[in-house]
Amino acid sequence: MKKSSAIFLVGFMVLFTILAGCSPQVKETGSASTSDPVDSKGQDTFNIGLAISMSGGTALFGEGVKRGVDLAVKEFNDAGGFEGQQANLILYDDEAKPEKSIEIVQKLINQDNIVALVGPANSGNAMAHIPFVQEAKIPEVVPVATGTKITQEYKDADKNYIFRVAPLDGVQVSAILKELIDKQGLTKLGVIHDTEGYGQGGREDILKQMKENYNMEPTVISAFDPKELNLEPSIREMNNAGVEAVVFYGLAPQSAKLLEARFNEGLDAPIYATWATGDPTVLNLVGDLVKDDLYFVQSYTIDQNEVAKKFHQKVVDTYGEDVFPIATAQGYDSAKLILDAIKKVGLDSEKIRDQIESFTDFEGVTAIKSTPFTKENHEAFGIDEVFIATYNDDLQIISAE
Amino acid sequence: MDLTDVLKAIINGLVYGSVYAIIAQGYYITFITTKTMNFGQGDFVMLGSLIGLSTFTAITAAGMGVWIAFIASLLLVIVVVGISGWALEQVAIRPLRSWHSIGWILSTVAVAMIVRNVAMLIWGRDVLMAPSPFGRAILDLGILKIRYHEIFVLVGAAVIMLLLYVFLKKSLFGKALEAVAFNKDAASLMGINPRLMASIAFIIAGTLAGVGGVLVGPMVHPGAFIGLFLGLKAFAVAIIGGIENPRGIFIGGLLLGVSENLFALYSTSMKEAAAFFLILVILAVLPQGLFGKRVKEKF
Repeated sequence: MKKSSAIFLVGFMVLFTILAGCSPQVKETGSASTSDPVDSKGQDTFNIGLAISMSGGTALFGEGVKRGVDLAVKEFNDAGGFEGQQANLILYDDEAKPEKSIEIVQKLINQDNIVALVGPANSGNAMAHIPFVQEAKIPEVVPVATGTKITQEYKDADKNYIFRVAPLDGVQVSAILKELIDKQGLTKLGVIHDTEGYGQGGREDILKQMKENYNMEPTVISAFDPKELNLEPSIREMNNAGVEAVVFYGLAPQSAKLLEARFNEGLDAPIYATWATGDPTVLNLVGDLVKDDLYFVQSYTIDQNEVAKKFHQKVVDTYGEDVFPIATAQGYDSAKLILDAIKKVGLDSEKIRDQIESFTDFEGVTAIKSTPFTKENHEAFGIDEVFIATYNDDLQIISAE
Repeated sequence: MDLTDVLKAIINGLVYGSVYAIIAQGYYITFITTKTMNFGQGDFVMLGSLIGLSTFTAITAAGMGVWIAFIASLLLVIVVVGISGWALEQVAIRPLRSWHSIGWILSTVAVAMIVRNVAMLIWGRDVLMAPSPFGRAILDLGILKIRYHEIFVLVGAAVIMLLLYVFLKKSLFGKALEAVAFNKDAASLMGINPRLMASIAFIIAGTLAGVGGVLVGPMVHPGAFIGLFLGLKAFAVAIIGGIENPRGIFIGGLLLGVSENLFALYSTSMKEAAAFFLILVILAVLPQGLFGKRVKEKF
């Protein structure tokens, strides 16, 4: 008996080893792992890095951005590259983990000799790796992570190498408050937020901006643990307080739970949320519960103008579907900033940085301006570039105006 | 806060509490027969809800009715997770018990990790949507609204509890299990095979976890990580109720469910802390749990 169970144990371990071995491998592009640094810096190509999550909670953001960056690189190469030199995109998966992010960014800088970097999706990962990017003097454009501090960290340095093409938290809150208080004249606002980093940061931004700009306070605040299974109590709190609108600060899975709770309990007020609620994951989880009285901040919708429509069509033509339109659009613009700069000033990282900062004629597909950045401002999106969006009856995201 | 809120909190609490109780019975049944338990019980629940959801979606997508899909997914889950329970006993409990160690604590956790990681490979890291056979239908009683699925869970849990209780207390087999728990050597002299009983106990525990998973799936968004949370709650329930008392576990489950939802009326963020504070208080006053046997030991 003992012998047989020992065999069983061994068998189980072997099985486990096999299973572990077939974990999903992210297809990492580029020649980084096989060629030595000298080769990858050869005559005909130069390297652009993409360090983003292709697995983990933000994997869908990563996939969206990857498609956008791929498209930008392809267009650049098809147009002849820079003096005949083609761009080569090297993608590593940071698994949404800060320590992994540091590892791959160092690898990109030291082994792959990238001239510029796009990434990441998670604010924590950005904060972890930007010291290395700043020190190596490599320009980085952040396409997703929204933590306010990311571009502020080296604000006072001689040259700040970190740029962002994503709606940062503070700006999203401003956009929501502007809509609710300035435009609609509401006075009774409720806040629902999660108790982890994302929601706590949002709560602070909301309280601070309401106090400073409007001298107001939320009527009621309901915090919930992100692992919480049931958000009905939060909805009831809002109903009992009789709020005119609810500001929600939580990630996609919690947004889905909120919408289910709203369906079960009924809510008399509209919900205003950040762009995390516009994540297609929410739509996949709750289907048509996203309709009616749900609004969120966006910087891009596929119908916002002709350029956006054409870009969406291009993504659909290339990939068959547009899995995460806004992430793909922001990824595209992030990469295009770098590649347009290379066209103008060549392959010197420092010059690329200077050019990104001083564009006056940039053309992107999101709401990005022709002069996106200044020395003081490394944020492509201010309050005027983001807008409130919602789902229409066909479950497509459209501008709410 | 008015009476409706309290009422709704109590009903919500009963629904979640009865799921905790079903899961916790799995701790009870293996503990009385082998003095061990599966610390990965929560991950078996997760496995149950994910397998259930995949089967349900596949069958409804093939055009068959929701109830056929539900029953088929329930049966498949019972078989798969039941077998997992048996395998766990073979791999993580039996080889270690002969060494008179408490190594089984770690080995069951290790199996739980493996289950979680394999689930992650199959279903990904994101949470999923588990459809209920009732869809999203709601029963509107005027003063409060309740999902049909929640009523179903409440009734289903009560029926499962009753069946389990009758099975353990009235059937010959149940008596055999209890005999092993009471005195293993005497039981084996009476012709009861304690090893077989141990295996069966773990199969039942696995089945309970699987059924719990199928029931809880549509109320939460199941994903590879929900096991830890549910397993911990169920373990708390087993301890509150007194681990050797199935009735106590049932009442303990309802108590934890209701009390955490009542706490949530004051503050949703304090809910967890308050519920576990309650556990500490109960254990300080009644170390054997609310309904555990009071055994005075003299030294």
